[in-house]
Amino acid sequence: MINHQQAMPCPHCQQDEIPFDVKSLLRGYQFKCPTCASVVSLAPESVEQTKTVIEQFEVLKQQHANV
Amino acid sequence: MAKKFKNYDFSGIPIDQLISKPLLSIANAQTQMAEAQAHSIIENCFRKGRDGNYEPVLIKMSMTRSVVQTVEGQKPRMNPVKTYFLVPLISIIPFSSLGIDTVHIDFDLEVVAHFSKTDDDENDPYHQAHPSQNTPPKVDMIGKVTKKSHSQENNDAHTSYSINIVASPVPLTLGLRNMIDLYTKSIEPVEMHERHDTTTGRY
Repeated sequence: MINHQQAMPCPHCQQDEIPFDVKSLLRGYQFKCPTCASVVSLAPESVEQTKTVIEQFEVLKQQHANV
Repeated sequence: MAKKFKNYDFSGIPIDQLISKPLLSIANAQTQMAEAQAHSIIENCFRKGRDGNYEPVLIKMSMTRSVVQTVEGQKPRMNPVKTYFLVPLISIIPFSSLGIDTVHIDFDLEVVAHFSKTDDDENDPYHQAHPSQNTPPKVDMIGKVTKKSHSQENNDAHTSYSINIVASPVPLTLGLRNMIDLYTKSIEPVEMHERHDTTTGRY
């Protein structure tokens, strides 16, 4: 499974899930809860940390692909 | 991904080894890949706490929602309210497990020797399980990889033993999936302080 279809429970209404794409989050995109219309985004101070980890996983994936 | 190993000399190797060795190598490769991913997850998504237990690395996210504000004598207004919340990093990383999906081991085999063992060893598991029956003779065969028919057409003098490996995304392990689910489902509003320790990265 690649969890491309990522979603998190809405922290506000807890009724629905907010679908998101982590690369779009890194670019500053916002994602909306389909039920309560709350909008979530990544805080600017966490962008770099998240980006670094995702890049490391991408490198690892490439290494595996080249085995 | 496909890899081909050619031009090896496989003269007189037990047939079971000819077949099993590539499979064992592939299983080892798969294990190494899984270990590397597990190590990376622990390294990046968790940090060791003071008590020695691993704690999830948390990242900060913001949530904006519109709240209707009514002031007497004025029209109701929609005011955006921004709230910050913490999310375990592991729950937003798009993990993928790259695994070896299919393996094709392709070779033509010539049996160069075979021999049978007829000793009815008392310790033989078959004999112990079926004491009334005679132990069937064990046959060992030694084989070698021969030229493939299409290789002969191409005047290729080498024997051919090819292993095609196709690696593709495979399902995440149940443990990792459960862990991600657990952390994802635990995202709920918790009052937090505005303090952020820059040395530990904790809020």
